[in-house]
Amino acid sequence: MEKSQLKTLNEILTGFLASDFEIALSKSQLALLLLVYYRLYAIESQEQDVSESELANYFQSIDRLESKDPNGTQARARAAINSLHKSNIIVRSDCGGLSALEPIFSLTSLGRAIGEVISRNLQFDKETLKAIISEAIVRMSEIASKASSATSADEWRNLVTVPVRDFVEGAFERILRYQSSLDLRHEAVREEIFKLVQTKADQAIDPCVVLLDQSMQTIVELRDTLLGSLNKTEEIALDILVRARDAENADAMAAINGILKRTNQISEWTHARMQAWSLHYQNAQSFLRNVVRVDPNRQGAERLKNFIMLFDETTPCLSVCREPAILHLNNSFLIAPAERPTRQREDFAIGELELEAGIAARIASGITDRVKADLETRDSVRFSEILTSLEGVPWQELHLAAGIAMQSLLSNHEIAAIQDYAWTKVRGTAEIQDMEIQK
Amino acid sequence: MSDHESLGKAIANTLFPLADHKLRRGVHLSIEDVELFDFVKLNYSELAPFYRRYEAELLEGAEGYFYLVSQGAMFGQRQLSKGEMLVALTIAHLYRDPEHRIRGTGEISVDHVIARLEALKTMEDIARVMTETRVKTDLHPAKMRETVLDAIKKLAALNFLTLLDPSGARFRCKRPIHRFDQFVTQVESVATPKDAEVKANHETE
Repeated sequence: MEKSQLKTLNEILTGFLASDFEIALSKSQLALLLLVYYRLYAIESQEQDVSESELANYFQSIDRLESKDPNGTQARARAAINSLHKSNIIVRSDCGGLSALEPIFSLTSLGRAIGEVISRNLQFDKETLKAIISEAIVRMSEIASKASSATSADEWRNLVTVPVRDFVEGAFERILRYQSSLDLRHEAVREEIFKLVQTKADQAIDPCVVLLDQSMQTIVELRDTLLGSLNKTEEIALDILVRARDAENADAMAAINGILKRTNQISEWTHARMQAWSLHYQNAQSFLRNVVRVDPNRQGAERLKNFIMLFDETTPCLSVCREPAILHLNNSFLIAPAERPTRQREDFAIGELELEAGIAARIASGITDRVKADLETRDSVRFSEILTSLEGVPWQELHLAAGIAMQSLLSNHEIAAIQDYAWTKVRGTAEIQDMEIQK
Repeated sequence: MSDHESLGKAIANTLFPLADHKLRRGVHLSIEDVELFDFVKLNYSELAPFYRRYEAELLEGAEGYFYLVSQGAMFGQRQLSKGEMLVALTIAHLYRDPEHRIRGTGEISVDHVIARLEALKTMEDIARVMTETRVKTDLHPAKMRETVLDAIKKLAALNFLTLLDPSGARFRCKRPIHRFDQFVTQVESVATPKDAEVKANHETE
């Protein structure tokens, strides 16, 4: 947006905010506007104005419809006329009292526009929808037959493109408007059921069910009416589209594609509303059956509320069944671990014991022979003496041989402890618990 | 047809494995799940004694749902956490509100749940229950939302709710949510909390 335009818009907004114009009308005041609109424009009337007393009379009839207290009607009528006047919906047309005995009003363009919108939204019902669609089908059929005879670009424009744009798109606009009015009606039904449930509890069930059934019937009838007719319309539109493609008329194709787009929109809307209304129907029916009928005084809701308010760490919780789930072993359990190469450490290699023919056995045999030889000349021999004399024998073999020899000596000779098996040095720091071997 | 033949026929039904699997894991079979609900309803007289052999009771809620209550060690049971329980009770309370069911479309959001919770309890109490601690604690709004969303997802797994959004931000209630009304009634009818817990969990209807 350019700077100059922005400045103008800001000026307009500032000026508007500074003015005292506002529209704040109650439903009864809007009803008065609608009544005036009907009297002046919707019926065959020559009148262009309406007097203040007539306005007051109109308001009185609206008040009667609403069953309001008749004592305050005059005051409410005055307030309604003032509001309409202040909102620029009616304007005085008696030159400020110069041309008439009592104030005369006429509708402004704003008043006419509001009246038209309200009446347009109210007047569509299923029959008018059926009429709109039937008319659309007839016109589409006419256009289709003209399309078959159209030869020139001008004929295509005059006989197909313009009529399609002028009439058929207008008809679809009316259908969309009708759908919007249905949305409003459904919202009103929801609101009415809500109020009934709030105020009348279980007595509301039957009227609510009637309302719900009616709303469902409306949407089902609408679906049946619309979807059947839309199929027919689409069929004709596709026929015209094929002819337009053959004639290579881009304008006509675009106009027909516009129709097809609208039929898709309408059918999607119908499906979506059908689904939404059904869902609401089920929901409301279930609420009426399981909540309102069972607990009309809402004690259940109150009980739940109190329970939540008092809920703390000690409050019991609901239990549910829980069978342990079946365990599935994952691949790491099912696949054997990889085999890694292994090698025996050489520095820890232990030689095989050779008790019978090995070197240790031979040394042990030498030890026992030596003991026997010494015992022939003496009465006893010290074991440490024998071991000390074997200086050339490797240490590990000597250690093993001492054990083997000891085992043999213990079974063949008397052994006596020396100083209670005192430790005696044999070689270096190596010691044995010494003993005396006797004959 | 003998009892055994009837039971055999019920077990041979293609719907049995799924219904059995769900029931054993605490899932409620609601009337909205037409096929499974109908299967259990039609075969109730065979399935109820069948589960009794496992020390479990197949029960039907008045509002239209089936569930299994384990009364022994064969199936085992688990309690909802305090947070899950509080969220479930709040949803059950919202479900009884015509504002959502009649005026609205029946759709409930996590924001509705949090708003109702905050209307009924102090933030401190909510934090204490949600974090399951006795000490005074704070719960950041983001953390609170996350905890409520987790609880909603767990309740949906037990078929109390249908999620309209995978995050759990929007959902609809299913009939089994009425089990919480029943639970509250049973707890309140018993004097001590311990007895209440035992009774409510055994649900000897």
